[in-house]
Amino acid sequence: MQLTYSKFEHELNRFLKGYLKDDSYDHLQERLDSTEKEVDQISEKINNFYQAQLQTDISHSNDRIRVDRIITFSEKKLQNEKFCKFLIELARICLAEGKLDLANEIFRKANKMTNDDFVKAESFLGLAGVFSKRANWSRSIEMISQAKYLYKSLDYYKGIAKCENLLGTIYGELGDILKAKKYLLSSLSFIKSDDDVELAAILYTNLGIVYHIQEESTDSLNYLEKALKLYQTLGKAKNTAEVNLNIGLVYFDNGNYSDAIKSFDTAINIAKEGEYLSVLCLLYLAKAEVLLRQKNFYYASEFANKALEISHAADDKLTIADIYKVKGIVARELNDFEASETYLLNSLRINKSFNNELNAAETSFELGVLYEMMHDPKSKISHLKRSKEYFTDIGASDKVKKIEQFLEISSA
Amino acid sequence: MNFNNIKIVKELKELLKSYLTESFAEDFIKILNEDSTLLTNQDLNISHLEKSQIEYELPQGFNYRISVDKVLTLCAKLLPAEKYFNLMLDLSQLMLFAGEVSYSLEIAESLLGKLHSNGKHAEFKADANLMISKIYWSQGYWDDCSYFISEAMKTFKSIESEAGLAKCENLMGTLYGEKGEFDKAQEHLEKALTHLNMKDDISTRAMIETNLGVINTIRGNHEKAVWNYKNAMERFERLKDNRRLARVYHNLGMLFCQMEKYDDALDEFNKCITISKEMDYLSNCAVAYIGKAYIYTQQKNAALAEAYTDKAMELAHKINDTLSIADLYKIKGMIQNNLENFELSEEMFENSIRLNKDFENRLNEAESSVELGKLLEKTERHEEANIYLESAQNYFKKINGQKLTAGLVQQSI
Repeated sequence: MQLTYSKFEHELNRFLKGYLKDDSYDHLQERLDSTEKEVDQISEKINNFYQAQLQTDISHSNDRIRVDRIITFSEKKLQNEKFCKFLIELARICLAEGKLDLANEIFRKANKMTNDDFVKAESFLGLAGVFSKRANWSRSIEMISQAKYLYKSLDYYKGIAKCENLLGTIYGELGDILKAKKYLLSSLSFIKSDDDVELAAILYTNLGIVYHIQEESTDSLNYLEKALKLYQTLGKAKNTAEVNLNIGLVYFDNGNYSDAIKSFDTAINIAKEGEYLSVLCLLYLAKAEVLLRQKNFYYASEFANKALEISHAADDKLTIADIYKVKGIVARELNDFEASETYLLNSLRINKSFNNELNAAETSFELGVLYEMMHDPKSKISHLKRSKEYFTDIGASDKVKKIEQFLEISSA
Repeated sequence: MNFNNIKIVKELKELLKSYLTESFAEDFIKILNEDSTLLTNQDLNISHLEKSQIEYELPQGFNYRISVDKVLTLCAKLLPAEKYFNLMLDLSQLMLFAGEVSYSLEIAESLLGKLHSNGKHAEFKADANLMISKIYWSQGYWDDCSYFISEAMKTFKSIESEAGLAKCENLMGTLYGEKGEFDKAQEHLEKALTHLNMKDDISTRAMIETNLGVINTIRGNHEKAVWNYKNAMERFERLKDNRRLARVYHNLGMLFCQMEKYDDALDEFNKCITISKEMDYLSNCAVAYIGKAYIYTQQKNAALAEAYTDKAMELAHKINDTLSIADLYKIKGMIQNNLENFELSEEMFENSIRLNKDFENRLNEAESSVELGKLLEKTERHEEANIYLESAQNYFKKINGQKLTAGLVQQSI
């Protein structure tokens, strides 16, 4: 795989020359080139099974034409309020497919056109979902509060529950696990799980994730299995793939790699079949992590690259940061410390800029390991301490123990 | 092309069925399944240059991302803060030209997040706000664009930066220009010039000149427009700013188009595309491809018109340039009209009108309305035609009956 465009590099170089002194510029170039070369060699070594898993098509400009034609046609045929409800559902499909720009455009249109508070609330919530996918937390929270206000005025509890759920996922992404759990449980209290099966399944999934982060595997698996059953009953393939991914991640963190791979492969089959790119991207990343643990660096790198391609197209910034972490670990394991440092620092920078404390703490830990190998005790201790502080706060005792072990090694 | 394998299509069909009566839904799904592109099936008899333009493979943005992320991370350690902030602004701008809209926004927002509210880096803060407004502008989100311009303006005022205020007024001018309010646009552009001294920022002056050229083109003041563009070109050449120079070539192409000097227009569009394709400046490519598609439509070369329209659609979709997409529907409508495929042509014009309405581009809405009106007259649906023609005429009267450039996107800077 050719990773850079020479003309683009040329433009970047022109830029950088204006900013950097000659020696810094040369040094930077060396680092940029060396990592590209490394990945390039890996591309040739892909086998057929993985190749089949990695084949996807991410450009769908024809979908845009189709959606436009549908909107124009329906606008003529439907009465205004029915049309607005239609727009909300259409935008949700686009959002679920990872077409964020289109979803954003359609939710905005519905929001502008409707005179109905319920539809307005739904459009605000939809926009909150778009902003949240782009890690724009402040705009997302602002939209949620507008939606919540309208749902409250309508006494529509399911709507309030959906708002609380989204808040829970946002705080989860921000790494504030206790707050996330509080919102998710509050959301659960607003619904009757027999009547609101889909929302219940969503909440069980999110609670499963939160318990997983808190290292409570049994509770986590219980919630995830409950969610899986509901989704299977509802015939929701995409969500089934998502839950399988999360179950796999629990196995993975418990060191049960064979079950983890089984769950991931099941999910990859479903996601590929349904062309659920956003889930597929996370699955590729998860698979890369397992392959990494199994010291299969070549395939790990290939899966990470494919995940990067999809996550960039889907504008999933937090996943990009996670992918850089995996690429950093691959480089570290291949003893390419400079490349590793660059990727891990990329990951840390992006996580920090989106306030994702959990991922930042995980990356800091990996940096600590790297600096140990680079014999740089000062940087090592500073990163490990930062990581330990976060994991102590959220009560992840296994992680804390692991970090302490590393700190001991460093002081020895 | 067979859409039936695409999963999203199934979901869309289900959705339609639940909202429309069954017969309507079925009829429409049948229409949807007819491919709106490549209906001509004609062999393309084209030059090497055109072949290379049509076969242009769009870059995959994630490759940029890897390089730029590394640069951002490493330079954070290598550069002093202020120089690093400048780099972030430049990279955000570069990514916008490259069509990586969301990444461009991410960099600009990240810069804004780094700046404290204690006024220490007020100019950077204003520049970051201005950059964000440009990004929203490029996608037609006028409210967001306007909000961030006023944020930038507040800060520039507080530090008495005349050059900064000039940039804000310039962007306000382009904002009104895009909405088809040309008097206001000109007012802001002229105000922008008053903020600059003769020795001031050459680049800003060239941008304002370019945008005045766009307004003069729309108003049919050809000589003034040529003078504006020549001035702008000279400045951008001096600055070796090829990105913006290419945009001026495009706008000159537009001017020749309006004068119906199609060969000269094609030359200018080709100059724009050659530079932009070489450097993957997708936003420039998108509009210049539209320009060429329009000319081929006028010359009744359906096969080439269609090929350029499809490529432009791919580009505009990638950079989420909805107004260009709206214009492309209009050109698609014109192509189908020439092919006497009136039903599809009508639908394409309606798409264009709807999107222009949604994004408040009144000039283009009026232009598409004229095209639809003419089509309806041709098919003897006079009453319906009158509605569209009258609404367009009302708009044109409002802007004093200025001569307009049919069917093309101008590129403000």
